[in-house]
Amino acid sequence: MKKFAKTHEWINTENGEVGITENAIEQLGDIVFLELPEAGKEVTKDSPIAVVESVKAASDIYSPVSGKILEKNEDLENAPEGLNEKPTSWLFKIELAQDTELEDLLDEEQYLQEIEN
Amino acid sequence: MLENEIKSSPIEEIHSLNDAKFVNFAGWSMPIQFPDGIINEHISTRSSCGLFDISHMGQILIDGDESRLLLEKITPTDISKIQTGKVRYSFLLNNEGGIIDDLMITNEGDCFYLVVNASRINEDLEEINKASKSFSKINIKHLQQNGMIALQGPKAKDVVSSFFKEIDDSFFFMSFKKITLNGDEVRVSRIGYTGEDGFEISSTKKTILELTKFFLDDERVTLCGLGARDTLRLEAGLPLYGNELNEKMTPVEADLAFAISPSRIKDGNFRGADKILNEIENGSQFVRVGLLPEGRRPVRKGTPIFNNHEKIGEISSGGYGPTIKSPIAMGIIKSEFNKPNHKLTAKLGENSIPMTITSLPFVEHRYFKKGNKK
Repeated sequence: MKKFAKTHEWINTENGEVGITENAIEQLGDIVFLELPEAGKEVTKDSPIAVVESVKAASDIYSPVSGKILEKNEDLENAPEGLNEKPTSWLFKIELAQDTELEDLLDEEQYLQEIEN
Repeated sequence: MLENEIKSSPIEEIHSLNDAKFVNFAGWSMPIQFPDGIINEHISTRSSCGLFDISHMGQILIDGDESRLLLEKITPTDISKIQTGKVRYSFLLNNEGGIIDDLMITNEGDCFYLVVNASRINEDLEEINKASKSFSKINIKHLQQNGMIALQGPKAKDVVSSFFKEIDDSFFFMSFKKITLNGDEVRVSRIGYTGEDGFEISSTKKTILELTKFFLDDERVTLCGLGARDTLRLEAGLPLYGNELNEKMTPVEADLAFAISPSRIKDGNFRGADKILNEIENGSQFVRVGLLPEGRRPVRKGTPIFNNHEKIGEISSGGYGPTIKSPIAMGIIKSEFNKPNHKLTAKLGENSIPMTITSLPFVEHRYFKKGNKK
């Protein structure tokens, strides 16, 4: 199951994959640069840990949960346009510090409602 | 409650039909991009033909016996050297030689036609009106009802001449023609803001709408937004008012001294001449340069530029160049550091991005000039 942050990140609760939403990618437009966190890095919920730049602008990506980075998607970092081609791609995998943080996140329906407003 | 009125383009319905993303630019609601994205629009323009809505640009007609004198008072251009049917790039200067706006001046024979930046139309009109008080019989008309489109790219000439038979290979870069269509005046100039061969076409709302529909039916033409217009002009090394140009900067600092007429330099009789002539002679304190950032990360406007530990300037425009597939930027730096291939650093938070000073443009201009091979 995917859970969502208001800042447009999603996390797959089964395998810890984190990405940004298709809506966010659509808003960004053509993506030309990604900077992803290194494996082993400890991160805290809601802190900026990655950067995405499109032709238009730069945006921070926030960690939806606290934990440790297990792996980053290097293929995507090397060819960021892949995120436009496959907007459901994961950016990095994270090992959750505490499952309870997931409860603060939105489910898909709530997220879609959030971006409607 | 008074609302700030947002102006909309005469061809907005076409943008909506094409699922544009809109942006508020200088008080106008304009398309920033269409669903296939800025890179696609950019590449299509460089390889074939892009169609841009530039109805937000300010258009001014000046006529009267003394209009040449008025224009020579406020610009550093020898207006008498602009032949009928020719266009010249120039500046509106303040008394300190600072750039109020950059603009195109066309000699239509019976009047002068000015195209200015949307973001500066109020300042421009104020300055022109103020300066006109010392001359007699001058009429200044702001063409607010006109729409304007640009067709840019290597196929632009074939596309435009498929409608206008008057446009042929004797119509060179920086030329102008007024054509009558269904009783409407159509102004066609062979100019642009992409570095490519191309045209800017101005007319009434009805005629611009009709022309846009005709051109968009041509499969060689891609509808483009302001996003691609910006990446194209950045690759072409062309300045944008508010980024590279402002009221405190002179044409020399903007590295645009080529646009000051030699005869005006000789006579030294234009606004800010003392300062500008001194800068031409001895160099200016600051100067606009091209910068190639290393790696893939774009640097953006406002990012500080360092030489070792000394801050020497700021990025004025920065982004990604889709043609050269790497980040590109322009910056305003202290002139003493402007040496070819000199290494500087952009500071982005904790990150330092090395950059190399490079000559502009990033992508060669392909204007249709006399003597060009076809």
